[in-house]
Amino acid sequence: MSTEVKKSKESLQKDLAKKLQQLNEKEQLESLIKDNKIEFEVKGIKYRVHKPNNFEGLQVRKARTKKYIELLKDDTYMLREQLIDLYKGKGVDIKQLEEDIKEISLQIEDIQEKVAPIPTESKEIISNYEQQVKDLVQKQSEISIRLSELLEYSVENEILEFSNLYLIYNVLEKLEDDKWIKCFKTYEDFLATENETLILEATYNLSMLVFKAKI
Amino acid sequence: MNNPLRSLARSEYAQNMYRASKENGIKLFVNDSNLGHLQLVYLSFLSVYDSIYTDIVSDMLDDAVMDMERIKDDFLVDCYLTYKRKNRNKKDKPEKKKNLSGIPSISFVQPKKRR
Repeated sequence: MSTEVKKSKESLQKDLAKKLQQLNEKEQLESLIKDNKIEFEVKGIKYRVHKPNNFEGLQVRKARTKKYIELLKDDTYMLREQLIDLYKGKGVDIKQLEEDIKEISLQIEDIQEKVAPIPTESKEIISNYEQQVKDLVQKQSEISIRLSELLEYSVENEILEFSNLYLIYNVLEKLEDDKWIKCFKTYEDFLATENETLILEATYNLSMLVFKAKI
Repeated sequence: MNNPLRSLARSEYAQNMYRASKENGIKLFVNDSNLGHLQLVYLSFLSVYDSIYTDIVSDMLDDAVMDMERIKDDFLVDCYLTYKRKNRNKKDKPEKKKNLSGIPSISFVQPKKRR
């Protein structure tokens, strides 16, 4: 699987909210939430992802623990806290960036509190405040992206990436002779696939079923 | 632009279904358990809009403005929810008793025992 997939996953995550906005059709939206499975089609083949059940969740947890121990033993990987210390020495204050995100949230709340009693007729004033909130959200999102880029190579992030991929491998199915079967027999087969569109679509759809800080 | 999931949750149809599910146990989803992320978000929006509709009908709005027109605007709904939460927090905090009598108050402190 190429690094393009990883990069595209980042952009997918950013676009998730936008894509949701495009689901204007009520029926389309209802079909997404009617159960905990999402079907999609890639190159004429029907696939689906589902929310992992307890057994699948346990499988992912086991694999994640194994991978975590493996990475801890590997000196080329650094823990999040170690990386934060390293950045501090180079003049990048991660903790401050995290504080900035929280501070912006408080600023947004202050604006919202001011707007609530403003009468609907004062459209211009409300609209100005709304723009201020949009700008703050944009600023917050930029800091958040910078943070995830800075911490991309931590053990914790590697683990998250690994569990997301392992989860997709576990819950991705395809329709064959009217039966849903597991799409890849082994994790190695899954990693070796060149069908990147499939992995991207599966990632995007799974992110609507499973809450992860990053997927 | 409004969030379509929120638009669906505040619709009359969805709100009726939500009330029916609470009162008569009508199923909202095919699956009863292991709800997906979007399902959980949708459920929380259903609950939020249900409480706002109740506020509008019961006129429990304090100074914040909310009506059947404003509820259609996600930004104004967020403002209303923040206002409501912050003001509830303020109300929950016990106020210091004020001495309105104009007479200086004296507080009695028990002296420490001498050895």
